[in-house]
Amino acid sequence: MLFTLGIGMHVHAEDAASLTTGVSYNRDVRPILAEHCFACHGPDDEHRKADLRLDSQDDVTRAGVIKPGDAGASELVKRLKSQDPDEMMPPPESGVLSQAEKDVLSEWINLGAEYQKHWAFEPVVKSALPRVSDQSWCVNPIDQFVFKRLEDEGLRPSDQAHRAVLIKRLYIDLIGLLPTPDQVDAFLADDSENAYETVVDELLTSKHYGERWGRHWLDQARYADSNGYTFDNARVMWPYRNWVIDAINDDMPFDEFTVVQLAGDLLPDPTKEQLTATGFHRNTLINEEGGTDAEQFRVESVIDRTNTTGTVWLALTVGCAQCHNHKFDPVSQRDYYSLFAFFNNTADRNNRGPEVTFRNPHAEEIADLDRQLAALKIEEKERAVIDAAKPEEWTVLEPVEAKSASNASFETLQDQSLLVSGPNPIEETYEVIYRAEKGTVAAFQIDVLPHEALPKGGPGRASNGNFVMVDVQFDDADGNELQLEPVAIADYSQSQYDVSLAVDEDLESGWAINTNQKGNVAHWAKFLLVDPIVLEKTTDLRLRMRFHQGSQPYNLGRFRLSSSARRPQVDLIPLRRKDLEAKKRKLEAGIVKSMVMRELEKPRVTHLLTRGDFLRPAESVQPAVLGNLHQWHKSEQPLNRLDLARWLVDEGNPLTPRVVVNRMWEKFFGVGLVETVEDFGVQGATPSHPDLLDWLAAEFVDRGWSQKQIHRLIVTSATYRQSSNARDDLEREDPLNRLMGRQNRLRVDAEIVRDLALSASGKLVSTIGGPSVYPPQPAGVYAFTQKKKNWPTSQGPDRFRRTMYTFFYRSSPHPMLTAFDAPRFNVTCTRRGRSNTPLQSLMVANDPGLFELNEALAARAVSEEKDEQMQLKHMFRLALCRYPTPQELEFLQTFLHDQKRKFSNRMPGLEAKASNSAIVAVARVLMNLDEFITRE
Amino acid sequence: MSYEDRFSQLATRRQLFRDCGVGLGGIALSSLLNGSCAQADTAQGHAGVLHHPATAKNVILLFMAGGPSQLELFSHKPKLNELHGKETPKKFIEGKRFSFLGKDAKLLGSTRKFKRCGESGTEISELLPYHQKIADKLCFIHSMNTDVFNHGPAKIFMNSGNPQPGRPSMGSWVTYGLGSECQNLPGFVVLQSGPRGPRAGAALWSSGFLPSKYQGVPFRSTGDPIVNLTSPPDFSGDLRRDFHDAVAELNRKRLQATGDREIETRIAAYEMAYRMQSSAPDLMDIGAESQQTLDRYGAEVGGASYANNCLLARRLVERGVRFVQLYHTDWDHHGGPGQTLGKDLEKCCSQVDQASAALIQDLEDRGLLDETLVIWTGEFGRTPMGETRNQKVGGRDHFIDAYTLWMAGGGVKPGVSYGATDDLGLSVTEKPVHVRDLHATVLHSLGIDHEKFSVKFQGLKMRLTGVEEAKVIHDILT
Repeated sequence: MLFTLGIGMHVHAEDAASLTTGVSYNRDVRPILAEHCFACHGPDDEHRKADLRLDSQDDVTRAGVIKPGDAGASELVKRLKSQDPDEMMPPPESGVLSQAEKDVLSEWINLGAEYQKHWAFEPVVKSALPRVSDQSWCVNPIDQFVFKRLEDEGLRPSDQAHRAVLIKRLYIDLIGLLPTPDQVDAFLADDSENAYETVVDELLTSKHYGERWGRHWLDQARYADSNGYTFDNARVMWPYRNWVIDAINDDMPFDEFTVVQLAGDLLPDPTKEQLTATGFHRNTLINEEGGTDAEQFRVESVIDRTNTTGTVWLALTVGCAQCHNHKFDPVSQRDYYSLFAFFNNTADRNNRGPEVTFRNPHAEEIADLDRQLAALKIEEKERAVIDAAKPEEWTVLEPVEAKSASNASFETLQDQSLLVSGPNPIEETYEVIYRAEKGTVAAFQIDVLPHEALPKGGPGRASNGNFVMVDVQFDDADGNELQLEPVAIADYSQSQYDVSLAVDEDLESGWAINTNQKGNVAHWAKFLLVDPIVLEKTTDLRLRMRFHQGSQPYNLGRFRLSSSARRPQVDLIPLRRKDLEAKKRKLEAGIVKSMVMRELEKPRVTHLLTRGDFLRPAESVQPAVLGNLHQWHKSEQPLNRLDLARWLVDEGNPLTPRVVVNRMWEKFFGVGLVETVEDFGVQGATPSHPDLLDWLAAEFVDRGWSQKQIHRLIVTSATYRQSSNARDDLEREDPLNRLMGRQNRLRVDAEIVRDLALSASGKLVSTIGGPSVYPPQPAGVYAFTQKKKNWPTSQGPDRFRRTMYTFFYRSSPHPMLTAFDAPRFNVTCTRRGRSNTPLQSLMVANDPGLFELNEALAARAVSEEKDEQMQLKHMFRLALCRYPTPQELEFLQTFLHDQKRKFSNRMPGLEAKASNSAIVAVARVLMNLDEFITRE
Repeated sequence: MSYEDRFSQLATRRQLFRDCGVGLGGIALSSLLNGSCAQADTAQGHAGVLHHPATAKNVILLFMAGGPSQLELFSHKPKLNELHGKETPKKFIEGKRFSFLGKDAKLLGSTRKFKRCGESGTEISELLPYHQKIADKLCFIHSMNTDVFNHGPAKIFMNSGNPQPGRPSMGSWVTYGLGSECQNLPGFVVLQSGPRGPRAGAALWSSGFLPSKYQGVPFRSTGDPIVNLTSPPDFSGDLRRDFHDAVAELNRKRLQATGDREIETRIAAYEMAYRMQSSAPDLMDIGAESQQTLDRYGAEVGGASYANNCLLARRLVERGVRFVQLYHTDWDHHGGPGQTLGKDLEKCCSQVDQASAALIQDLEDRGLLDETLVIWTGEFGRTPMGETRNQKVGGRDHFIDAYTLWMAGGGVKPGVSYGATDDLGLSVTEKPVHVRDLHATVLHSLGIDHEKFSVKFQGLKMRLTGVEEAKVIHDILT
């Protein structure tokens, strides 16, 4: 084993597969050839040197550079050993092979130089379970594979972790939150055989499970709340996030999960949910900078969709073939653009493009307005020609009786106008009876007039002389309301206070005249009757006006009424349309739409792009799947995205199930069975447990692509339940822990750092889904952005929502997220980094948003426990989910007392505050521990 | 060992060994370079030993965001002035793409006077009188060209070698490769002045697929220079030490219980955070400088300006910080209101002229110029054709075919003008330098061979210079 580790330094130190003896092409030889030879002697015919291919047995045999069974006689080996710069391979400037690597190649040739197809492109074969010496350790088949490998290396697995560690591990891995001390106690006390499984099943049905695992998927979907690039304006895409959470919670089978996201729009009669799901590929960037070429950025988004699909489903770096044939994997440049062609037909073009209406709370009212607008259109066509030659004639009406709701006084002036004085309430109604002479009434005019008795000269009684008339109504002699046109006309309306608002149904909006701008001068408003009335004799008509605005009086001070037998010669249709449209816009503000994929009716022709440059199209290509990997027979041509999606999750596809279960493994153990979760190609790592990987992949498909079932299988395995503590023998024999003789301690994801703090402090608001929120962030975040972003810090419950709902601006994410390795979501991310930096320390130690939670944890402990020692213990358990050791408790007590003393000195006379600060200091220490942000 | 290991828990543990000088790291580091470097380890970096002797240790990138006009500053074109208002030669316009210019754009002469300066006789415009005085210390490249003509993508390209966000910035590559010599400050620091931040924001100093440890850390000129540097109210002073000691003590207990040496890295990170709480404010306190120095830059204590930032840049490299990016925004002189080649350009020039020159002079006086490479550039240049905005021709559009930048110090030949353009400044006629060549040259001066310095990501060997050809401009290096 030490021999192979020696090789490992240059091949794959992490590649535990090389820990067994013998030479295998896939395991030992191909990585060396791929690293040093294939770039010039591989599948890329454009860059091939000396017309020699070393990746195919046929070519090698034809060229005669290898004599199977005789390394000494093989040209290849001679070249490797040569010191002559003209002859040696690889050429001097390209680096050299280690002696160990040369030995591997020689041994392989001596053993017959057998080639194998790259392991990941071979069909998945569900292997038989290995026999192990100690079946009792094994809980399920996973363990047999793991135990066998350990056994072969003379190693034993680790003991099961302490139950307190186990339950915390399960909570963090499955839902990303902490168990409460009560939940921990219940588990510790449950001595039934399936106590552990009970917790697992509870967590798998928790709605937070969808958040936790949805978040992992959103990394791959490169979900963000802004457009990226230059301006990085906000966008609405959270309905897609909702969809993901729901789908994961419902355990939507992964094949269906794939099809709806890649091609939900192409399903027959797609549902709203299926359309929303296609947002997966609408998470691409949009460049809103002035002077951009929309086509350029459309092509960028198609490239991104192609590459993302390759990485997420196939773990293939298809993007390598954008400019030239792939140097290592069977993807030609033509193959690349054939994949590209699947995504090249959508209607979006560096813009929001097609959308689905996710929510429309006023749908019926909007539909009604649409009907009115349609009717108006017909009316407009059929209306009579307006006779502009006959102007209206106005007759001033005589007021005979006036009263107000507040008993204000009315004085009739010489011009028949009324001047109001006395009570001036915040809400007011005037009712005035006017005497109209015999004749026709088709319209009324209200003149609002200034007067020296009014504030600033009126015409209103507000302190600036303004008024807000929220409603106007006219009644005939029998008290029947005369129907008015829904639009009125005025010589002037203040912005946002159009006169038509006085004849709508809304008693909060109305007509006003902005005296600051126009001065305290006279204005008029005209109200039109739908049907003119004919008065047979002198008749009393009633005018009713209401006034209201905020918390100050806005009543009218002086006014006069006139009537006209002829309607004013105005075209009301545009006014009515404007009115309806304004109403519609107001209602439409409540609509939530999400971007979706939609196919163009006339497909674009896809060209191979020379060197990936969209300005250099070459021959045209048709959509086609990667037939080299997995054949797909379908009669109808041409293929579309739906075919691609179905091909990806077709039963025989060797990559998709392996790739998906491997990513699950990576989340539960920190490292995938194939370490390069994003690259299963020739250049990627080889699996540590190939049989286990295949068994899981097959099991996944057999179980109807149920992610939950595989999760359950993994977390109930003995392998998963092992302690993560270091062990000297493992440290020596398998320092990277690829054989899984123990669990790994893993620092939690960026979002989970804060979620754990929310959860420990009891502040978490567990609402699922919805628009993104704005928890506090440190000052100065936007000092470095081109546009200052809108960050209305949430004050209510939204302040304490899970961090996956924090609004994500691609150009300036919340600093806590970037400090803890959250991706920026410009491109897909299948695996996050896990760094450990001083900026993280500053973040957890000092961030005001987190400090708030330190305080909340302290307050919670104080309110839930009485005595000091119990409070310390409780706080410890809330944060770390275990009991402190006696040494830890003693240390904390000493620390608490010391801090109390120091705070008392700092704040003399404020004992209670000092005491509280000291306990907050303890909470702050606990939340800053490595253990707090680590899944053990 | 592939880069992925570095992401794993155990790799960070190895890093710890290396940082502690235990030496285990030696086995881990060599394969980052696909070349045949010896397996020795450098102090902290991932580039192994240098590929060749370095001429620079640090880099200061003075980024004039928006794209300054080379034709008003460094590229004197009498012929363009002569043909002012004339049609642009057809063969030039055809096939070209611009952000805003129409096909009928006319040539626009420059009204600025140029002067031959110093012994080198370098021509520099009247807009930059302080530059005129240090002409012999600068190396001008007149034949720069780039690939993308929108601000965001072009800035990302200039910084990361790729127009889409997602790749590591030059500063991340360099600190990843060479490590930092400063224990109390981040190795890659970003400063900003001007009316707004640069377009594309954090993508310009992102560590991309490299560990986030290597991302640029923005230092703000007011308030906390680093986000969350200050302890919560009431927890300052000696309580700060108490907090760190308590966290360390309990972390040590957990280390004992679990044996996970990643906890040691965490303890070390907290210790450095503690030190940064005093070293970062110290750094920002330019009141410690002499009045003479402040005057030289035009810096003001308590102010926020390009001048202050230039002074801070010197203080940063003095403390061993590896890479400093300094953005000054508002160079986008299209000709509209606030964007004219008249008073608006004059304003930008007056904001950066004195301090840029002072930085060079000051570095030289302190013996730091030899080891510090200073680069002054925009994301692209501006067109020889005039752009019409508000019915007036008062500006120029983005131009990617030919523009000028200057470099100084760090092994760059002083008093040199490299490359040339035609009489109208429409195209490069001699020694073209692409952004990739610039990147190759910067890495070269730091002792790194750009072709050998790669990191494996998603199956590709990623390099700052990408897959297209890139050449080191040896002619400008000493």
